[in-house]
Amino acid sequence: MATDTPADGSGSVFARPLNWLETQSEEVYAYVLLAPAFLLLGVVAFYPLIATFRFSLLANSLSGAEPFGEFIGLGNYVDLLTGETPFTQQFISVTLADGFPFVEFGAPFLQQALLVTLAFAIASVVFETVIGFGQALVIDQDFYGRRWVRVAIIIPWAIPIVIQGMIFFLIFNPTIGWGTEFMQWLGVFGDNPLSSSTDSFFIVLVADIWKTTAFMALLILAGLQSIDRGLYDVARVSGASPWQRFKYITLPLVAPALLVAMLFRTLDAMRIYGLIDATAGCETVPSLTCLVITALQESRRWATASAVAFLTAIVISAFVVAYLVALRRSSGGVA
Amino acid sequence: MSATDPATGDDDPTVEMANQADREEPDLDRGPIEAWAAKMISNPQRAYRMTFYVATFFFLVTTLFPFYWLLVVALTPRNNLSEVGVLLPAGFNPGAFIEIFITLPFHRYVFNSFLIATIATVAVLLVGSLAGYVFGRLRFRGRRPMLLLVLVTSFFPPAAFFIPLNRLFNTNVDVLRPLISAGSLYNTPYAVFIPLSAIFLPLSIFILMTFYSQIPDGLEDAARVEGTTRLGALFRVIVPLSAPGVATAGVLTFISVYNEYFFSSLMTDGRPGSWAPMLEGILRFQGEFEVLYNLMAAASIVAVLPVAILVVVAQEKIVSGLTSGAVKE
Amino acid sequence: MVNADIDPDDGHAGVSRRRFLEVTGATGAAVGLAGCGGSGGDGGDGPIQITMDGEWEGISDSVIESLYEAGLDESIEVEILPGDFESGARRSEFTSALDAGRASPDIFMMDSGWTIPFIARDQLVNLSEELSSDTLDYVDGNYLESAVSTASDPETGDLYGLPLFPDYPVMHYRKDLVEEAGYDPEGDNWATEPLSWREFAEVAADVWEQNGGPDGDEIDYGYTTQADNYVGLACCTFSETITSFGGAYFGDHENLFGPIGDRPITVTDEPVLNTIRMMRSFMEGPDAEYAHPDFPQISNSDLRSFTEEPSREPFTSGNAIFHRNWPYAIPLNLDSEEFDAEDYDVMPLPYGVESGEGMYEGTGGPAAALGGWHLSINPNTQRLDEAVQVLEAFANEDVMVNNFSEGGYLPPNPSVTESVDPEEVGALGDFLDTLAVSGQNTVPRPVTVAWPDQGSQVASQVSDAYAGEKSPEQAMSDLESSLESLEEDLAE
Repeated sequence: MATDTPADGSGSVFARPLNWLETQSEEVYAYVLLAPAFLLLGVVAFYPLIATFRFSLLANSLSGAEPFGEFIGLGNYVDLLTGETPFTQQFISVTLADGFPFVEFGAPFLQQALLVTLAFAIASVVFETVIGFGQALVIDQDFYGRRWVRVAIIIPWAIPIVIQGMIFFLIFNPTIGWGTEFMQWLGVFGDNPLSSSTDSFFIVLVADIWKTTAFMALLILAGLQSIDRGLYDVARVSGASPWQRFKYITLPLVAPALLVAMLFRTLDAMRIYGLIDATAGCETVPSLTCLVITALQESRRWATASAVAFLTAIVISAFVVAYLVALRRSSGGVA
Repeated sequence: MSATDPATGDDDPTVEMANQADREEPDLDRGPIEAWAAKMISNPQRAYRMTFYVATFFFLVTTLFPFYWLLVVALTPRNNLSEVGVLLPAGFNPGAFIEIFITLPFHRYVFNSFLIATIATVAVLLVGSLAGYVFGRLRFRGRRPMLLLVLVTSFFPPAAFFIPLNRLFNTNVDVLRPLISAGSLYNTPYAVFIPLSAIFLPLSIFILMTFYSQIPDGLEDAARVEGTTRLGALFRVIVPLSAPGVATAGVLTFISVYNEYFFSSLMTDGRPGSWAPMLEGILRFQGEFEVLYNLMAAASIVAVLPVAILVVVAQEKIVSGLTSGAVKE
Repeated sequence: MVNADIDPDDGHAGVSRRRFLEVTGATGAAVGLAGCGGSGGDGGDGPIQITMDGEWEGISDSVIESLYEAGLDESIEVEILPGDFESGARRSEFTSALDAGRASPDIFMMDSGWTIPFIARDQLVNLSEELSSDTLDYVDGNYLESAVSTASDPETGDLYGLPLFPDYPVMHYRKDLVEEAGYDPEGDNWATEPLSWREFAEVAADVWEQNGGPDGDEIDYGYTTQADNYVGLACCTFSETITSFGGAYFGDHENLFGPIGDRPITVTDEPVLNTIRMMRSFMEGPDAEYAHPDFPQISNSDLRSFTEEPSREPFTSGNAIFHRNWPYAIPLNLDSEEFDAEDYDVMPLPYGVESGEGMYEGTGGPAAALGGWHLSINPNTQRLDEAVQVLEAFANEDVMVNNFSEGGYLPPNPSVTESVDPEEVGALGDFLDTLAVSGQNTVPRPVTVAWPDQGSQVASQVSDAYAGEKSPEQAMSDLESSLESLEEDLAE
């Protein structure tokens, strides 16, 4: 491989700054390289978040042109946590009860945004990881036509959320779709699945699993592809069964990619909104982001919307702590 | 399925055992199902093969069926939609695919999205590679907090950025008038791909970081010994070797930006000439009351084609990873 | 064994990748800048922009032409933009535009159901100070009063929006099936003389029975309407039905637009409860829990997931006998392949109690919810004079007739509707008499800054009551307390 001299082809424009960069310490080098990313994030993400946090500490103002009132500190947060906001679905509506199980739900379980979102996130991540892993294992194999199987499995991810929602909305629509009769024949659904919180929850869950399993499969596949095939040969010669090969080679080596996939999948699942809006509607299946959007667009309570956004972030960060601990234990990635 | 390992010349022990089992099968009187089960148990390879085929078939059907049904809806004329079946359209109207281009300049919308997604993906891969390299391979003060900061932006629903970004990008700032004729970024592609790049940056940073960190130091050192700069080592050695990760991050970012709707609707006025995204075009087939589901279905199928082509091209990269043992030391 | 043979192609790939990036970046920037210049200025010069919807944009050439013919200065260019596809999304779009202080669009087309909050927040140009006195007098004296009231400041009476077109629902029905069953819609003048809900239900049940009934295969629904948990339930279907029974949300109709906090909340009255019971019976039969024993079953619980389009599908495909919907459905029904145009007709909505005999002033009679849209001016526009002139041009009878015939948009001046030549206006021409009756009995929704929250509370509680999850009394009493707390919160 030829030595790279600054005088050749494409390097000439960047030669001087690159050479200066070479002489810097690792730390300065790191900060310079991070500058573009943090500049972009700073303008588009950090600054708005600080502004939104400031908004969440103000009062709502519905009757003036300026959408925010005076400073009320944590008032919005308190209202949300005690179920005092004038929304039809609450962030959480739980009171302490005397006997078992020690908490009493003010509103039905699936009408409380926090509980719906948590249930949805856990269920969807579990199913998507398991199924996605299966799909990745399948695509990883060498067989004729695997290129097309690969494309087929990724197609759901390429479908926009609005269309994905539309498909399932049509399938369970009383006049157009066949899904309702089928599910009633199975005995699972009631009369109007798109109006019932429980049934709609499952519809949204299935719709999401259909699409997002591809995301997991893609990331896990990338992880699988990076595993040295030679390791498998060595294991096979030593007499390891396929299950043992999986448990001792595949799983540990794919763990970093798997955990990143699960992490981001959880983040997205906790922020679900578009799919719900396109299928059953936010009145039937309220999620945390549903609350934010309702407050933002319908009732113009922008301060409350900002507070919900921050509460959502706090709940999500609790999950993330668990992931970070697991990531640290696995050998690749962050440690 | 060769029974002989080319490297060592030994016979593959499991296959040999299976062949043995086949030969020594006792002559028992069994029903067909039992016989099949016995064959499976004594020949695990075949069982795994069978599971594999069943799994593949199952995955194919479940992932493709809703998409197929979308095609069925697209082919059904609007008025017959209540009779559409599970597998067959109610009527046959391939004209829907032409109609979408006549009713709107739908191709322009697709072009808008494609261009914005391409630029955003390039930007994200570039900026994300730099950051992924730093987080994945360098040790420096403040690494963990900064990484956490990047991650934290993904904790928030995108709506949390709406109000400030709307004010930032859409306010008329007269100072900017000499540069930008309109005085704000409203209706320009910048207003769309800058926020979208930033929103999808954290995921790519994490993916790239994971993959870049797995390249052994030896390779990077070898490249630098040969005279490239540190930056050059990144783009000439690490990135190509992490092709699965880079291609995956690229595909995911492209698809996400291509299909994005909420921010784009804030930043443009919805006309094709104003860089409105493809989804805005699809939603234009909805009136306040009337919804032309068949045209929306046809339009979304057409819109998925560029993405599908991209995936076909990119998936070569996704699987062209370290299968040949380039990392043995 | 170190594999130091890094493929030379990889090296080239590295270089060419960088070149590729440079090229793409440059192209992107170039295209972007080109786009900047080309996408028509934003507020400074260029045409006056009106954000309407996709349908208006489709007929924009004809509309703009008619404006010039009505006397608009030809040097003023007008452009109609297609706004977002649904009403709520357009409201958000305008809110964002106003919050960022954008100069475009110059003119907003606003839903009559959410114009007043913008007025209350002082976010629109006061037309009473800008329009010529001729136009203002014309509007005052001739436009549909309830439409004008939804475009004016409730306290000062100043006009902030020019009504563009009103919208009120009618009952669509299959005349052929009704006549076969032995009734005489023509002879009994159904087109202009509304039936009572009781009569209507009996006819519907009878006709359905003769066509298979609820258990038969032929026709799935005797009657379809919209009863989903959405904004249309609170603003329109529920609101008009309780009004036809003599009930109201806030008492006399002078309280519709305020004062918040100072008006009674009357959702627990008998007429409101009876509406819920009647709907329960329509959906599940008179023997169901909480249903009204005097009304027969004429539909089923699918109504609870119907908005406008899903409720129209069965009727247009020949699967329903009666159907409540806005006039947009008329051309679609005339086009149906399942029945001929002469088998189809419309009539005013049924009444619960006679006009004027309701509990509150303005209630009773065949009430029809008022929809429709207004034109208002963006206060940040840089060309106020020209925008005002455009609005003046819209307040012209020829423009109204043109809008009617091209797009099916009812004129805001009812006398124009009556005097127009039916030949000129296309599909709606045969039904002008029914539209006139509906137009005289419109009930606007109680729009205030509190209504967005109140509306979702109404929809939610009424939905629960329709589903039988709560008794009507319980649901309405819960609704009363949430409306009360909202009123207190936002009292002026």
